[in-house]
Amino acid sequence: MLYLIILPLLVSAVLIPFLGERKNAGWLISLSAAVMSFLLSVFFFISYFNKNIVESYNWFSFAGLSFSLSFIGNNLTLFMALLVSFISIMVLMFAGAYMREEKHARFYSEMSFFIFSMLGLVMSNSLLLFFIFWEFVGITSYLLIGFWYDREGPAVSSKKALIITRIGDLAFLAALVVVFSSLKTFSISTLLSAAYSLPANVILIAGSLFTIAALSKAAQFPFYTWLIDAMEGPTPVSALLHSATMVAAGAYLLVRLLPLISAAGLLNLIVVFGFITAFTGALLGLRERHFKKILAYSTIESLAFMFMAIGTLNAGGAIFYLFTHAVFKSMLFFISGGLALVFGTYDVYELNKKKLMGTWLTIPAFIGFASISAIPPFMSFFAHSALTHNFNIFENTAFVFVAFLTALFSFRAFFAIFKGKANKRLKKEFNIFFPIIFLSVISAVGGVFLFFFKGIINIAYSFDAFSFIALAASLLGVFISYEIFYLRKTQSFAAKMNGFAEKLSGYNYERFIIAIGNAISAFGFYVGKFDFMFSNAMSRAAESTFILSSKTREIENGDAFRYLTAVIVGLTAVILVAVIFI
Amino acid sequence: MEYLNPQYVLFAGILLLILVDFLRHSMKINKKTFMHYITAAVLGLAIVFDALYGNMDIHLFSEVPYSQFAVGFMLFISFFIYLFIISDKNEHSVAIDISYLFAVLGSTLVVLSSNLLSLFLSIELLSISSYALVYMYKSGNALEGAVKYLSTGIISMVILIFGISLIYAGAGTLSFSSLHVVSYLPFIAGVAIVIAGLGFKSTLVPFHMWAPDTYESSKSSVTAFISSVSKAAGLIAMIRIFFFALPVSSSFVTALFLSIALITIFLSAFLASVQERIKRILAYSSISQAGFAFISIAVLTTRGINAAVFYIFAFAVADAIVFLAYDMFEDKNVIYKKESGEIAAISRIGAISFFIGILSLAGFPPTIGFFGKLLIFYALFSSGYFALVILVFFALLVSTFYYFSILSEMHVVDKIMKNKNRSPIKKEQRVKEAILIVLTLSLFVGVIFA
Amino acid sequence: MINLIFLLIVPAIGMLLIMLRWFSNKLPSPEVISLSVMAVDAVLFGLGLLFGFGSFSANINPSISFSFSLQENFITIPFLLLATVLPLAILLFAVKEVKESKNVFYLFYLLVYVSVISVFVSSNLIIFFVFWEIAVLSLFFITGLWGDREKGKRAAMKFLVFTQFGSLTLLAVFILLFLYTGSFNFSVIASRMSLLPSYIEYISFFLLLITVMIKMPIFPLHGWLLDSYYYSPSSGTMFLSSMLSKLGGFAFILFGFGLFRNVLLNFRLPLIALGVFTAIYIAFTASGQTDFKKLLSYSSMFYMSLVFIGISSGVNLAVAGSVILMISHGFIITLLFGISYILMQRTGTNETANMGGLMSKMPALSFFLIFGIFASLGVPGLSNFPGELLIFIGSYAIAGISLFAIFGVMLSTNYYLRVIKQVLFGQIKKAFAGLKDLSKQETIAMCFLSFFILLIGLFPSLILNTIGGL
Repeated sequence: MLYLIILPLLVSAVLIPFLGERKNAGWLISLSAAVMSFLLSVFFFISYFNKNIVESYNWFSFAGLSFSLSFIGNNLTLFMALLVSFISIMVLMFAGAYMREEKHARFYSEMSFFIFSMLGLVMSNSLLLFFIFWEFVGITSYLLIGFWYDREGPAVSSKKALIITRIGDLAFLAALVVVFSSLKTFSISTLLSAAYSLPANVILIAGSLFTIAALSKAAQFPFYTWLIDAMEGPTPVSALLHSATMVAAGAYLLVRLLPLISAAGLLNLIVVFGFITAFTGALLGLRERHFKKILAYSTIESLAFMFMAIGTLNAGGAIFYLFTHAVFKSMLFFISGGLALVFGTYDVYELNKKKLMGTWLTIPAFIGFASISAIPPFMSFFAHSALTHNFNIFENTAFVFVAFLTALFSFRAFFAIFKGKANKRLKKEFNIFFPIIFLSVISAVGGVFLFFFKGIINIAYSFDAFSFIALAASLLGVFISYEIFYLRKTQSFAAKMNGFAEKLSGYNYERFIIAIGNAISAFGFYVGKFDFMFSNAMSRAAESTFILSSKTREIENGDAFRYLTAVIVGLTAVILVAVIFI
Repeated sequence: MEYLNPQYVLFAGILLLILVDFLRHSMKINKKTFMHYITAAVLGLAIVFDALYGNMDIHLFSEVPYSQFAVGFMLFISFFIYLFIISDKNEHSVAIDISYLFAVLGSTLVVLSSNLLSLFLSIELLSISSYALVYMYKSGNALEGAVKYLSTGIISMVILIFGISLIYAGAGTLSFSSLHVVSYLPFIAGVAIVIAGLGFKSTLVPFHMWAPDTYESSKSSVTAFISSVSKAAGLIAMIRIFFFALPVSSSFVTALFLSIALITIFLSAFLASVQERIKRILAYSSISQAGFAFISIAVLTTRGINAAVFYIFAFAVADAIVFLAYDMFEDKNVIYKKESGEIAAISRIGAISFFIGILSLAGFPPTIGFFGKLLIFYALFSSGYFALVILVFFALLVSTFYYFSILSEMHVVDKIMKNKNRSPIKKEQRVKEAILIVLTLSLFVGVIFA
Repeated sequence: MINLIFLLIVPAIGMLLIMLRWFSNKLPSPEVISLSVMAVDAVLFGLGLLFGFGSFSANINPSISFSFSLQENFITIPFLLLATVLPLAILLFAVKEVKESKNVFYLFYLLVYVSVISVFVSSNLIIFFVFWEIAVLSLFFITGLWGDREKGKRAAMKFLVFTQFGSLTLLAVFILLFLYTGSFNFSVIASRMSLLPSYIEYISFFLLLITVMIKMPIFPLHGWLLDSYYYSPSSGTMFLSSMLSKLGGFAFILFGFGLFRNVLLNFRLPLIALGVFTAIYIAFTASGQTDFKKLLSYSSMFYMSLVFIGISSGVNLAVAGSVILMISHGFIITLLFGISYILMQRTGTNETANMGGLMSKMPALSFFLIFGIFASLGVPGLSNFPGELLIFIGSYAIAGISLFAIFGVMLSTNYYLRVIKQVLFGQIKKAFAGLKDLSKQETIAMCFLSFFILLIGLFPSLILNTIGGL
């Protein structure tokens, strides 16, 4: 019965295009579908609590192999379903305000389909079904990022997003094939229970391919660039993409397949990738001036934290952090979108001039940025303590460093935006106001969830020395950024920091990716040319026989004497041959 | 009943014609049309007798397994070619009737001959009347063609009789039934010379050179006869000698035959593909068809012979069709390949028949040309010549190219729709088209003989 | 029980009616005749699915075992779906395109139609070959006469000579089979395959391989592909890519997999490697194209190389996947070529870089273009996905190298997205301000194709159940 959860959204995705551009129809339908999904998730969460129920449907079967699609209902999946549908409700509410001037039908239909795919993804127990929804998520995000197709930015960045995530999709497909050919089933539960009995090479290949898939979807190094550009899409899309869906799918995949990944011995690698990503994300975020892109870098970084947790076999911590992050990140996006609606810009230095300190957005924004930096008493601090539970000394040290950078760059943004006393009040629109306040309340007091969470997901947390060292580092970061970016005391230092970040970004990673793309295109161009020549060479060869035959034409020119010569020669030859050999 | 054979019928017909002509002259009747009808009737009767009673079986001429079929299709084709010839409004002299009947008689006798001497005489009969036929229509350079035909023909006859005499010197007999292989040098040379002599008739390279010129210079309807019936006679004589009379089943003879056949196929294919004049392309295509038939004879197995006989039938019909159809176009001065776009405007049915005929020559299904090739490949495969077949495929590709270069210039289909306001069709054209239809149908029905 | 002969008789009646139009002007137009004939055929096919197909046999010449016999074999039904249903959509495009000598065009059109159906249902190899050749010939004329004015003839000639070589090798295979089994009847041959000496089996298999590699086509025998696809009229291109190339795959499954399985199994590694090489090579080639129609031509070959991989692996699963992929690709490529034709008509160019921003003027066309592109990229729920999945799963078990073909899918993502970006996204040019969206007729054709793409994608078991005898 789990499919009931995703059904309303599918219906809404199909229904909305038929209604056309009626006023608010698409919005209402998709919102009510999301609410319905949420309620159903609640229902199933309660009724399947602490159970592990697999619901399997046969898609098709051939030659004794069945290609089944199955959902699984347990604490983890249904919690994820709850989270996704909850965040979706918030995002759709916000979208009601943000997208008022745009065409509705296409947007809400795609949004519904996107949420539908993500909900399906979190609940699926068969790799095949997982992959199907995984692809849907990728494709729909492509369409959503490219929603404003007539602008150059979205056109380019949506293409980039799909191409890069497609690498992961195809890696997933390859992994699927590898797993299926040795396991003869797609069931994730079977795969996990057999994870150590499979041949080593299968595990290694499949594990690495799945890891690539997860890295690309979650925008981790070396695939992170698409997520930054994806900011060209509408803000509700970004909010959804960054919080509970799309990027979260990457982390979620690894959480689901954790035994396989650890059997493949890839854990340390994942930690290393996570650290690299977090470090670069924080540094690059330091010089960014586009509000949403700053948030994007922070997303990349948060995802990197999750990957580090996964790399230390701490699935519970990762999931809890995912939840925390989803809440505060979507709220921050709503704030950025709300500001953009009023001021029409995402540039932090532009916003700087608008004098926003003291508006109603200040406190939620503070909560949001403090959550990024994991400052107590907000939920994020508790999440961090769960996240770092399994870290060893090296990882902890690295994490402290990253925490410092995180606080630095996130508060830079905060101080840059909220500077100067506001002299007029911002308009409050319910659709914007409610989600922001609601989510900020959760982020503020959500820390208590950590203690209930034990009952849901296996999770461990500890407030050890390192979590306080990290906190100290964060506070230091906040202080420094207050000194530099708010009070502007050490301008030269700020300039140096900026210069350092510029240098870092000057490592041309972006250009490297583009160069690879260009090289492939150029290679394709030359292969195309070669093929053209090759095809022509075949007809040339055929034509050359005609040149040959035009030579033979001279043999016969109507000269009877020549005919006689030929006859005599032929006759002699035939006689000689006959006489000699017979 | 013993004398109810097509040969007797033909011979009686010739005598009757001479008699009637004599009477006609003496009675001063200027009408000649009824003479043509008599000739046609004689040919028709011959077909019926062949189907009912078979051929004559006397000392010098005897039946072989395929001879009834072979004589049948020769008569069938000759009958329609003849109808086509006389359907012209032009005045035809009675000589054409007589020489035509002689030619037909000669070609049927070639098939039946069971003695080298009777074979030679039959070929001579066929040849001499063919020279007359070629020259009968003094169109353009008919004279040149006839002279070339005559001179090369005479040379070939001389070569042939020389070979026969050498064989006689070796074997001491000329009868096929008592002929045997002796290892006597002149005898072997004689056999080789006979190959060459018959090669003339059946246009095998390098004895083919007269063919394009002669075919081109004579009237197309006559070319139709020479390239189908008369060539078929030459090929069937080859079968008779080398398969039945002289079982020279040495692997080397096969190699010799195969190489002659291959050279014929390839050279003609290449030569045809560079020609500009339609008729010349058809001439070379006709040569290449002989090569195909000969390659099947070359394997010297029953399967090969059957395939060859069927193939000879197939290409003879198709050749007759394309040359007859082309006869209609030639009258309207369609000479070059690039002009072939106009042929549909001349006669729609003619164009379609031409089209189907060419398909058959190119070996495209569902025409009998395809089935002929099928049988030939079958025969070659069953004798184990795999590589040879692949080699032949390349020649076939070249031939596909030149056949279709005629057709693609032709816009056969394109033009058919456009000539809404064509001039009213003459009655004689109707007759010609009817003949072509019948022959074209036989291209499809003929498969039952395979 | 629907006798298979009816599937052939109905188009034959249609052809007769079109021919009668030369003599009478009262008959309906050739488009109407063709459409109704094909609709009747499609209905007959549907009825046949419900009530089963009856076989038909008439002896013509027993001495060469030549009989006109029709019988369904183990993979007929899915291909029959392709052959009876797809031309309906192609017709809707052809109606607009063909203005000259309509009668003859539709005569050839029905000839291709009937011959493709006949190839799929004939159980006598001679009949098989006859119709195989007629299909080639008709397309030769369609390309030559209604194709590009300057280069059409040349392209048609190239196509004919290339494929004719393939046909001849196929004929050689048939003769060899006849030689050793004494029959041209498929089922008889199948039961007597043990009579073939093994070297004959090898020879036949390689001859067959030449046929298949020309027809599908596979590197290095694909020289004819670009010219004939590019210079054909769109309906001809659709036929070539959606039907004729499938004939190659059909023959490969029927003979290569059905009869010469032993040889196939011995050679599957090099064959899969060849397929993978072709896939990647052609994906690169396609990414170098800036012309939409050329790009589609190459991409069509890319999917055929996946099919080649699937069949050469010789595993039931992969062969079934190849069947699905072929059917689905038939629908998808028709849709895409249809769009490229419409774009060419409206914008006057095939260069993707010269278009741009068309989405704002042509939302329906954009929807179908994106739909078609996603379908060919193998998005789940659309028809390519189950095919690709089965092919990869099946062939991976044989040779891990087949996974490298996925890299080709990656490359096709790249070039297809480039197409979407260049054609649909961005600002619209002033010259295109007056563009009109799909007409009703075009929308119907597109919906028709999309319906089948979706149907096969969602319920691949519809096809898989019909090839249970694999």
